[in-house]
Amino acid sequence: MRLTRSKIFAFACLVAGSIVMIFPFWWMVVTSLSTPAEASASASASGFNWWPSDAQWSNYPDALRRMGSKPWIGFLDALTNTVVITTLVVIGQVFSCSLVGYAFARLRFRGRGVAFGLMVATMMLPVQVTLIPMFIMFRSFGWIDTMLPLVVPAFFGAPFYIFMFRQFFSQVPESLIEAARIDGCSHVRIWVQIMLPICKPVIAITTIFTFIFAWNDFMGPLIYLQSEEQMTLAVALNSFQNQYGDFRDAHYLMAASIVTMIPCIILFLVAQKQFVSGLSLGAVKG
Amino acid sequence: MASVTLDRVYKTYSGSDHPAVNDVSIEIADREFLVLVGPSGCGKSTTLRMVAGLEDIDQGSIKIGDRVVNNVAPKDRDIAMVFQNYALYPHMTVYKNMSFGLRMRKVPKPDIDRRVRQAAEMLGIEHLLDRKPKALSGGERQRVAVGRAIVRTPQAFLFDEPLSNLDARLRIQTRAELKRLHRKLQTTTIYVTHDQEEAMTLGDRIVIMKDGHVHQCASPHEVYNRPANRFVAGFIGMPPMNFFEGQLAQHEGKLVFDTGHGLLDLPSGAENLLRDRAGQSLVYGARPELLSIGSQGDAGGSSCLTMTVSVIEVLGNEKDVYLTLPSSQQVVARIAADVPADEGAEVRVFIETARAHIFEAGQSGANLTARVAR
Amino acid sequence: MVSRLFNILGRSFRILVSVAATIVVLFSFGWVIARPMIRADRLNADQVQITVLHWGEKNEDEILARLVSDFESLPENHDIRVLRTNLGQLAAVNTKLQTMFAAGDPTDVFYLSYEKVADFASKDLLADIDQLIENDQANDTPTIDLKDVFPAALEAYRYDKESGEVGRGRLIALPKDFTTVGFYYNKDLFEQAGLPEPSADGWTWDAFVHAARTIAKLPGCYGADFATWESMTRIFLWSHGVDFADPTWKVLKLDDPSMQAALDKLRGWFHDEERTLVSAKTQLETGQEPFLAGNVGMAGPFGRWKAPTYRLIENFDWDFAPFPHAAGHASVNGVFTTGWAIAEGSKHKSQSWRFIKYLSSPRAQELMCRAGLAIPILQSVANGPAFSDPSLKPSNFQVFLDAADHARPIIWPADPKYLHQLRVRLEDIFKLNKPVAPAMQHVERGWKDIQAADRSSGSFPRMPWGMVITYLALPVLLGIVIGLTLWWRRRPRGLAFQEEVAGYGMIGPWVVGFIAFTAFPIILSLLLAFTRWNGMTTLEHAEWTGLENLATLWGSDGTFKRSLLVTAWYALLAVPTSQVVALLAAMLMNYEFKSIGFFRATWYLPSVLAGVGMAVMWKWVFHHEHGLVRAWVDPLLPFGLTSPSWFEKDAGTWAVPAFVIVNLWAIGGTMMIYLAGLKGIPKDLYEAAEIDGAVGWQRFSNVTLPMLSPIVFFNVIIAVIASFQIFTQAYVMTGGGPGDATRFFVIYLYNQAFDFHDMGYASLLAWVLLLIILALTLLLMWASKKFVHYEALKS
Repeated sequence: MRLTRSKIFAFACLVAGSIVMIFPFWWMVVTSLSTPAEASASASASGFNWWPSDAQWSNYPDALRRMGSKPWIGFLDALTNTVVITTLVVIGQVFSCSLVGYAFARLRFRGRGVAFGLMVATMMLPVQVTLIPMFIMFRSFGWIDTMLPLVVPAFFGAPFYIFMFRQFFSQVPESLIEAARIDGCSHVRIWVQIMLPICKPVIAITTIFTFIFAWNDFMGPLIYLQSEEQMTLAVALNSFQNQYGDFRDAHYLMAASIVTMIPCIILFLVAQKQFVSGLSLGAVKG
Repeated sequence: MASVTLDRVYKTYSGSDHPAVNDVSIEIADREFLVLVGPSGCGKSTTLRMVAGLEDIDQGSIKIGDRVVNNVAPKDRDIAMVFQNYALYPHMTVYKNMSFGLRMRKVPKPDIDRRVRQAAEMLGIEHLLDRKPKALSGGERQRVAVGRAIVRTPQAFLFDEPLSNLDARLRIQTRAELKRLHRKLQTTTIYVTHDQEEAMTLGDRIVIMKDGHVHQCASPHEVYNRPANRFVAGFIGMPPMNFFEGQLAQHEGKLVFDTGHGLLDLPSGAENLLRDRAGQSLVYGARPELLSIGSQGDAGGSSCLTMTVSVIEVLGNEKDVYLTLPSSQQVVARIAADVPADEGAEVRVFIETARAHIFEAGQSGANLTARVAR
Repeated sequence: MVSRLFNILGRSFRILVSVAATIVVLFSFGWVIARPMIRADRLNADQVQITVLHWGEKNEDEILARLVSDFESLPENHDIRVLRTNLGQLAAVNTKLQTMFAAGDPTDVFYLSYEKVADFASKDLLADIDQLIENDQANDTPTIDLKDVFPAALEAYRYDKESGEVGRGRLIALPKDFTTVGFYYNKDLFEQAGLPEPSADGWTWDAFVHAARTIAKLPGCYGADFATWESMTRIFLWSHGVDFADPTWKVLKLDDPSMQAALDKLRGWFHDEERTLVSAKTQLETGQEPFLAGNVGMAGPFGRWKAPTYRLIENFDWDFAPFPHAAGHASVNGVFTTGWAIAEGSKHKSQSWRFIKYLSSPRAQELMCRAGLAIPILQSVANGPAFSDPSLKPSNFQVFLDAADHARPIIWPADPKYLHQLRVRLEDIFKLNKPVAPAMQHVERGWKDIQAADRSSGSFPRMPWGMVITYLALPVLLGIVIGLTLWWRRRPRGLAFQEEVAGYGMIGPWVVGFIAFTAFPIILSLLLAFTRWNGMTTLEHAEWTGLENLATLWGSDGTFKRSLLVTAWYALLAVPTSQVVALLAAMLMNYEFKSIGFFRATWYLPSVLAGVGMAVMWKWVFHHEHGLVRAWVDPLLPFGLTSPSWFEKDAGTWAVPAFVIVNLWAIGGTMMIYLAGLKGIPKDLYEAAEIDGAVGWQRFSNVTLPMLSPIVFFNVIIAVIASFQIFTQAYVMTGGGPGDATRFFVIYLYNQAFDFHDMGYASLLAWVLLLIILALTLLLMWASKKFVHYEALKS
């Protein structure tokens, strides 16, 4: 491969950009492993280390222990809440969106076009418009301070993923469905036994993006969850920031922040291809 | 108008251990229509793209006219290309598509307009000038692609399988038009195709390639009647030539070919050339039209074999009769449609051996009878 | 070979992750399901659990933990268990209280900040402490001796329902502690500067600023760290004999020239002099302790809460000085206090009361005292050995007590909107160096509007929900009935009908979700936009205000216009920059390097991590003293330029660009979409262009850009919609300030809904947002006809 001037320039840009992208994160990691003195110094001009001279791995359990008001319980509560909520939301989204998406794609019924158009239009709706009434509604159900307001709506479909499933299912050859009907499957059985297995890529994409969204969701838990026992990691981290925001506590704050980000990083490393294909599916068809 | 010369050109793609184009040398005369043909992967497209400048050359040189263009950018080579998928700019009208290259070269607008309309008229697409490619049929798009090339009045046209996306009838129609166009414009043309019929009908000369090598470069007549090797012989002509493996043998004082199912006379004039190859494994080639069918009772000659009729395909005026030898090898004969033949019958197949060929063993075994006068 | 190794590594990594994830998921479900049973079991049959909500840094947290365990350990309290929640910051607790009250499910006991007294008391949310004491006295139960409590501290928690005044009336909370304020000073620096130490009997502002200026002349030193929270500023004004308004808040004095002069004097100390005063803080920031660094002469006006932190100082000697007074005026001070309140709606009032009594007992007060955060509420304890331990710094602790004699409770109007207005404008003055007179005029206008709105409150008729429902529901029902009939009559036969039924069934979840979570809320939101409702009570209390909200929005809501401007400015900067950078990045990523996968991953990763964690990180990056930018960019800048104080004094110009930069860091997703688009452009188009003679820029504008145009369009719409909805980063990093510099639209909406308790107005704001986004989308769609080439998409 010829090394043209433009290629060298491009490579240099890539490297420079990567440094810029990674550096704040690297700084976070370094700070999280520093002693308190090093942590406060690392933020100032003179004291930056590329790696702490005495890596304090104990900062991590120390920070997690201090989350919330009871040692370890605060963190474990937040972690398990987040895991449960995220898992349920992912499951709910995958099932409901694939079901509805399939119906929009392959079943003929009157009003289908109107309903689909309506659904697409709601994609543009800012969430703030429905925020307060939904709050009132959940309050009247007595669901405040439980995870129900965050989980239940996931089982009713989200326009973006319904759209993706629908696009995918539109391209399945009609003959496949006709063969199944001849074999005696009802529409629901077709969905379960034929459609779901073949739309694995779309399921993967839905799972991943829903996971990221639910794991990092802040505004929802902020509004609906109140007691410490019910909080998610995002809200707990925000409280933690308020308690330990002094620059001398930076190492705890960074450690805690990094812990909340680890699952997303792992997911990204494991499922890179799906991330990429998901984006292109969304945009190119959009 | 210019000649194009490829001199010992090599190209290997990185990551591959064999060259895609292996020591290719071709001289294309000015105004000639040269066709590069061969199975997929033979290196024909790569060769064309190297002439265009879209691929780098590892070794050797390419000249357009008198100019060596190895390191010249495509836009400065004064060539025009028609792509397999037409590569029309989807967001531009036909007019804009055709005029794009001229606009890039800062040709004055009135000239652009004149040339575009001229080309459009030549191709019969004046009524399409304001449409976008999406609104055109496959054949119309193809013409626009050709028009875009014509408008540039380059030194050479390069066609990369332009007809392969058209349906059969349109393909034949367009083939004729391309030929007419060439006669009119008289521009040097290099044309790539995998269809040997296209090659035969269009080319002034045909270059047959396989695995990066040039196997033969000659006129259609030459290539058909004097194939350089077994590969060329089997590639050109449909249905393909029948090959019988066997050996030379002595029979009643003369050299004959023993197929294992019977003896065949040697092609005329071959006896002298093959005298010292007695006993060698060779291949006997006879085109389907040299075979004819007789019934059991006909007088036997030394050049006939007994086969069983398996399938008959009626083509209209003629029919192709597929026969099987006792060894299960399939043989094709092309005969007149009214000659009787029944499926399943055992018949005697006569071969007009004078115009047959003998090849060395192997896939690309050389044609040992090539120099025989026919 | 190497790639085989990577494959195996990758595979085993995936397996490891899957196994770990499964374990975590199963464990989490188990934990969450078992949790209520396990924790509920900890309560014995005769035990009651009370919930306690508070804020505080680690010191305070530890004190309370100790107090709670002490309380529970006492034999008479074995029937009570205390569940304590510490949210870290005052603002968080107040927000949580709001939502809890709205849900009708408040904690039993909570910290009540003194500025919220009127707000909560006027809504009958607090239990009557006087009544509880009287009940005790009637039953001969030991109770709190109010006479031992510092009167100044107690007054802050009295509320008179009829007049709405704080300072007299029924007691609705008990102070947990209180403090007066003064200035901590660095004895070493004073000595170095040749200054006499301030007298514990009092000193003037002239002496103060003289000391500050002198110390500022020392190399690398600052005169003083002056906190300009609204309450501190107020005491500053008091010390000059002026105030924002009369004590009852009925007469405003914002145009008083001597008041404005005093404010301007302070502003001048900050901005017109070098290093005299350090960055002014308007929130209880815990990220800063300049005093600890040892190069600041004084720090204040702070109360005793700083003492525990300062006691850890080792590199210099320090003490405490009284709050200065203006020459010719008497010394004044203010009472800073937080109280313990019991929710009127608590189900465990008597247990909560017992807890409060414990906290106010000498025993608990002594415990709190030793931690040294503030002054105990009981005078007996304050004058006792626990407080006046001479081995504990500051040596001049008596100053606190002396100040209590001339300390006044700091009383603000009930409606939090007033305070918010003032706070924002003070930030304008002290952080952004805006002139005093116009800022005060702004406050006056804002306050007058609030007053007018308040006066009209209660005069509105209740929202006629019944009528509304009937008027809405009837046509809808009618429509449904007609629709259903038509649909039934025209239904197809046989298999097609079966398919139709199956179809409706399968889209059922979406339909139900649409009605419940989209259609119904939108209608309700639209109705709410015409009401006034504080959200803490039930819907029946909503008042129908007609177009009043609209009138306020259009006519007198300056913050609304400002937030629109800020948001629009952000969108204007963020959308083009992000799209251009993302596209350029995608073009870079399109090169066929071997390592390109690594680069794609690193550039994409940040956008995956968006969330609170990232916001926290960026807050640190942009920190004006300890931030990464300051540390790394400053040394590289020529001509002695420094990077701006993004969220401090340069916030007016640089706060929004900071958020644009944060947005740029996360363009990975957009970049990937562009990359996919680039890869979707057929290669032979580029080759044809190459042959046609189009290279470089021409190739880009004639081939790449038109082919990408549908994707550009898609990305731009998404980016515009997203930029108008920016919330999380701003909430975590700046909270909307300083001033209104980062008061993005959704932050303002959130303020209105959950800080000012005006749900109706907030709903109107939400609709405005919806209409703006709709308008922009339609505009973009119309414009797209010109520049988007849909032919680029495969048919």
